[in-house]
Amino acid sequence: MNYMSLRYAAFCAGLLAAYYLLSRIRKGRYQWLVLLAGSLLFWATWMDGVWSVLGFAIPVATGWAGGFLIERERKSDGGKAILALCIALIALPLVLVKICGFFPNVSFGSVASVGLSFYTLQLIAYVVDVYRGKIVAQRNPLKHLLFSSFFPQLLQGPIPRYKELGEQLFSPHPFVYENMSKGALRVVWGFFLKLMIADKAAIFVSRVFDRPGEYIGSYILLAAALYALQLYADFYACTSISLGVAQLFGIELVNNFRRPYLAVSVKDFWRRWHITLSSWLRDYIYIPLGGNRKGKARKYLNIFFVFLISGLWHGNGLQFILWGCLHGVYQIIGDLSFPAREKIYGALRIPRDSAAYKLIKRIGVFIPVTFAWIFFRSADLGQGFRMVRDAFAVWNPWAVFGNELFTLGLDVREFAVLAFAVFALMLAGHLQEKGLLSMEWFAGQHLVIRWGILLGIIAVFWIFGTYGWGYDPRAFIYGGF
Amino acid sequence: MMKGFRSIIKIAAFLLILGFLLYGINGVLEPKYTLANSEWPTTSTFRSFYTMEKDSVDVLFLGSSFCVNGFIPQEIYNQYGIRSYNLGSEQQSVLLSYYWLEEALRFQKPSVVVLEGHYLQNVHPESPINTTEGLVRKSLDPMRLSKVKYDAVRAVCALDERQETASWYLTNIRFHDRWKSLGEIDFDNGESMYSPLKGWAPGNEGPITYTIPVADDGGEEIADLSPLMVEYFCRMADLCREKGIRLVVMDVPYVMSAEVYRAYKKLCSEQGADYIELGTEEAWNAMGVELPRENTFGHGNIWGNIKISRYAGKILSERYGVAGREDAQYEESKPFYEHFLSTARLKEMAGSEAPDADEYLSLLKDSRFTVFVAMGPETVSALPEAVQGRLSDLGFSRREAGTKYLGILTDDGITEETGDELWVSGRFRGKNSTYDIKNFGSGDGAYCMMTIDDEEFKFSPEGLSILVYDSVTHQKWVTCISTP
Repeated sequence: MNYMSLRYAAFCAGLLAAYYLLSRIRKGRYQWLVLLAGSLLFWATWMDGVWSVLGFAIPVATGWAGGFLIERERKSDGGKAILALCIALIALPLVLVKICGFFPNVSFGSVASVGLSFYTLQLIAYVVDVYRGKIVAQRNPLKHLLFSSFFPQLLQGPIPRYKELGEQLFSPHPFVYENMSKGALRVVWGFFLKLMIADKAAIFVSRVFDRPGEYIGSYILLAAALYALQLYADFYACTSISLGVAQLFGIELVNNFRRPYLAVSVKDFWRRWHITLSSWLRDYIYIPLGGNRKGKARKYLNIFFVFLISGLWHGNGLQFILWGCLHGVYQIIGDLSFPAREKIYGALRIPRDSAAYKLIKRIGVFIPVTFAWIFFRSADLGQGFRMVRDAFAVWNPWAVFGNELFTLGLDVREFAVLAFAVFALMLAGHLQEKGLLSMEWFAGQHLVIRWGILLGIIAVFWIFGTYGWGYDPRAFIYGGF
Repeated sequence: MMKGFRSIIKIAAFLLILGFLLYGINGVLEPKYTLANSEWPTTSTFRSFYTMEKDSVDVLFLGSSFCVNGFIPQEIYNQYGIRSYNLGSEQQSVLLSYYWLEEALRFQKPSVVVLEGHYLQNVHPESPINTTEGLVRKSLDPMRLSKVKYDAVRAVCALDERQETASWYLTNIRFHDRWKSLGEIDFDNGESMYSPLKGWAPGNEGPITYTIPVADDGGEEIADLSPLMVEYFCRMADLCREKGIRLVVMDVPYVMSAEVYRAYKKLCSEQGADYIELGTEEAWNAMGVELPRENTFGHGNIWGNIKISRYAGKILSERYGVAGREDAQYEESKPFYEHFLSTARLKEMAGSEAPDADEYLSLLKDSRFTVFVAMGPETVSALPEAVQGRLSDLGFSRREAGTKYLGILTDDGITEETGDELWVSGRFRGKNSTYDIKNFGSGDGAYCMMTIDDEEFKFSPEGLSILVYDSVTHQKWVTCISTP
């Protein structure tokens, strides 16, 4: 059962009915049980053998038991050891999966339960936060199970902290029409991004990346740029659907994106892209390593290490490690070259608050980020290098203006629709950045406007979206990490 | 409490509007097969079936494209007064025919069901249901939502993994790509979506010079028929028995081995159905087919289809005692059928070297035709009085010798008539089609070109140039009538 399926829609509708019916019994004290039942049911549809159950059960059980053990012992000498043991046990399935990925001859059985990468980080954060005394450990194992498996975010995050999500899950939520309205918009927007941008762009991107050596020059550069959009739209779509579905139940998940391609530096990019992962890496790796408190050299080493871990987390392959390292290097170079660059802007009389300044900086972020995506999208490191070599081996800019472009899976009308959808995304992003478009703005509109927006978006992706018969339905990309 | 109730009402209203919106969009996206764009126009034929008065059809024809072309209910009615309906479709296998029979019996009480049996054989071994994927949709999509359709979809999806159950109800899943090829017909919900021909579509094959008679060579070997098709044939036989309907397998002439012939006979005999093979020499002679004009082979042509239908009508009347009766539904569609006969004759003449001008022009007196006429000065001067008279009957005015002529006859009468203009362009058919006509020069330098909806037709410089546009089928054809 994936988030785009009719079965999931029916599943959510059924749960919503039960959830809000229970809100009238004992002031909604048992509503969370509906969420728990739904989450387990959802998880069960993805279950793949005993090993995958263990891959889920061991971290969750460790998180629960470890939580109150750590709470009790955290001030004693053994507290740190218990924490280390808990982290090791929670991370064990993920580590095994990574080892299998890098060493195909090694097998530990299929412990890769759905959402493994996400709930592992979530549970590590939980036990660390208990150790730090930031939260009180959850004694009720069922409530802990719900926190670990909340179905709208299980597949692809965001990676919530217990402090943000825990109490929301267990407290009563009466029916609020505004939640329905806002939640529906988020879900509908997610579908728009997935069907109108991500899956459309994916046709062209796959054609180029899945046939290495066949396309050169501008084709690869265009495919890389489209992949940058595809990945963003795909991940943002899933997050949007997750946030929307959670909101239908009255629960606010943390937003994972804040218009990343409007970032003015790579550092800024990571404040806007997969925010919950970035903040997790900051809070549980970068700062414990010393952050920027131990001199510049150590700071850069820490940054590099954090992005190495980020690369490892994203996939099993050297190309992901290189991708992570590239981002680490980008940040270090960005930090080192900042004063010089600012001097150049000053000499050129480009004010810091001008549109030109932002535009140059945004382009300066988009190009290296997109370059790194070439490795990220490649099947292995070798292919990544070949794609980069082939991208710059020839100068053929005319290729993107010729009709041959329209023979690579997307005809001219499909390209026009894709361009329209990307424009809509950019416009929405621009308005959000200026504070002119928000959920509150939407909620404040007249019913006719709100319904018109929802119906309009649905009609557009219903007609022009990439889905259905003849297409290979694509799973969310981040679900595979 | 009141606030919660209001919210629920609002959500319900939103979902209702959304439902209507998506239903409307899906209606546009779904492909339509009408006489204007398809040789087997199932959208219009099946839709029209639902408009028939209850219990007003005595004979049902079911089967593949051979059936759709071969059996003309209007011809059978005109000859014998028998009220029949053709529920065939392109590649409609026995499985699909079975469900259409079930569906038809919800509305009609036929006394005879005729199954055209070509698809008892495994015609499409590449498909688990003996019909290619798109044509399963062509046959079943026009069926109304009902328990029968639900069963049909279940059966099809269980057998063919390419089929997706949800896509039968949310048809955008199957036809999501259609936005790229939407046309006028997709937004039309009027008359063209209904065919008055009672399910028939004319075969468009040319003349044929030979026949391959089917005969039992006295051997004992029996061909293997498709087990799935046989299973559904047996279900069809059971259903007919239960309802007191006579089931007849009637095959139009086509290539058939003696082994298959014997297998059909055996199967029909086991299931209590009659088997009538129209491809035998005996049937051929009884039909009185005249080659090469009357093509009855496979899809055949309209003249061959008429012979098949008259013979089928004779059998229905004499052997099965189906009584003829007057029915307004069939009386009303007579002129429409006549239009198709005229069209076929006009196209036949247009393809001949020296068309009979008198007959050709007389057949053009039909408001469903738009007629474009052009002549150079030499032709106007040499136009025989009889031809001039026929043109006048149509509404075109007489011209003085030595002048050029260009005229357009639409369902609104003569809309354009000129002797001076060398180049005219405009719109017709409710402004939905365009024309652009150039009629230059004289003698050896004469030049005539007509462009209709971006399709160009060039004419011989000598003679009366005529282009006919059929507003029913949207077909165009040209002829040039030479003057002495």
